[in-house]
Amino acid sequence: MHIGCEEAVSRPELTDELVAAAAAGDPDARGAIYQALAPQVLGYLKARGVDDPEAVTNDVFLQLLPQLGKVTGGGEGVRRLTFTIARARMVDAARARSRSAPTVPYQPESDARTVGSAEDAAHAALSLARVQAVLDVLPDDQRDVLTLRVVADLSIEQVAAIMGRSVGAVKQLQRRGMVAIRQALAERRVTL
Amino acid sequence: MSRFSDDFDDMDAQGVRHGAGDVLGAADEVTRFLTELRALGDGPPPAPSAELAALLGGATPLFGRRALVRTAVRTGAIAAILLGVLVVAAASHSLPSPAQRVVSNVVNVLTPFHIGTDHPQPMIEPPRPSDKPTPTQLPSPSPSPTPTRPRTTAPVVGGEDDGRNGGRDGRPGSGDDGRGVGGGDDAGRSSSGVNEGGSDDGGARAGGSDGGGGSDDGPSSSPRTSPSPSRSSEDDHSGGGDGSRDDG
Repeated sequence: MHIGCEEAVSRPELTDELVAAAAAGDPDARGAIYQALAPQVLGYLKARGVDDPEAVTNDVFLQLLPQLGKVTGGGEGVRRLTFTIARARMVDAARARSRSAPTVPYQPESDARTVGSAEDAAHAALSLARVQAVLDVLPDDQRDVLTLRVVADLSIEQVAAIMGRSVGAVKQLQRRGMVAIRQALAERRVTL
Repeated sequence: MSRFSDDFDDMDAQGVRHGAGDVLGAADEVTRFLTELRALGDGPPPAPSAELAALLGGATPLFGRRALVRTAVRTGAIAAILLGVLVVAAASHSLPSPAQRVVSNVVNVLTPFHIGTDHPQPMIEPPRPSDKPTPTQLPSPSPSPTPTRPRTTAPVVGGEDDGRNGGRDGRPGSGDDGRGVGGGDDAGRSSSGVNEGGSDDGGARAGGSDGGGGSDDGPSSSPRTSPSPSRSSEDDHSGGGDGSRDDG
């Protein structure tokens, strides 16, 4: 199992058999579930502006893995539970950030953990900053819908279940969010 | 490509579906935005922490400390609320008596507070308006009937009125019409509140002297020796009743 490398890895498919094996305690199956879901969880947390998305991703899986035996719905059930936990952790992080003192901005030159080319890192950071700048145009619930739909690759029904909203409400939030983004980009209020 | 192509129909119409940028042109900024947004989830997974690595390796997690603390706090809060409700209920004597005794003993022994084990005294109801002494029924200080007012009204036929007059006046004359009833009965009524048997004598004697309630004099006169007004009332009622029958 190769976890934590910097190159993009092929993502295993989240099948019901994989979930059953992971629930039975198979280390390979657990690793495969982590490989399949952790990148999307990390991307979701990054898009939502969580301060330490890697640590929160670890917390999400620390909470998820012991519950695998109780999950119903196979692979889709695990995906929905994973992002339910991730969204709850994201809300917790946002509340903690609002209560704590303001933090200093990230300084890449003082971070020795960076591996890989500086160009890739710079490009990724720039890309994340642009995406977050566009998402900041949206209200919180619209931002939530778009990130869960696009980054986590969830269906409208799954997003509705995670957010505790109706399917119609999620569709409406998604439509309004897309209209707002299009207007903001057209009016050059934000740029990519 | 999304796993939910059908669900993205509405987004596709706006050129936001993943990969739709090829069709609509790379210049579409919305498509670029969504492509970059999706790329956030395409990166490598983060390196797992030591705890997560152990869990991924098949380790069984211990019962979380956070969950343990949460359970303890919740249990303590529920226990404190229950205890508070119990003590408040005991302080207001709202518990059933066995529980009241137990809780009171525990509180009295373990805390500096004191909860009485006796039930509170029942409130004494104020006398009803009909029981209030009217100016004509004010108690006379002397046991002997003293006429306070001359009789101005003639006794009516009803035994009750006769008795009232007799009782009020305390005169044997109330039994003039030969109705020991009225005297006995109403003497009892007036004595129930106030007269302490003073007017009883009138009624009883009247009945006795007239022969109407001779046999009832005994019990009806007994309140004279008894200071209890309530007893005198009961006795006088019985005396009056007998007298009435005798009259009839």
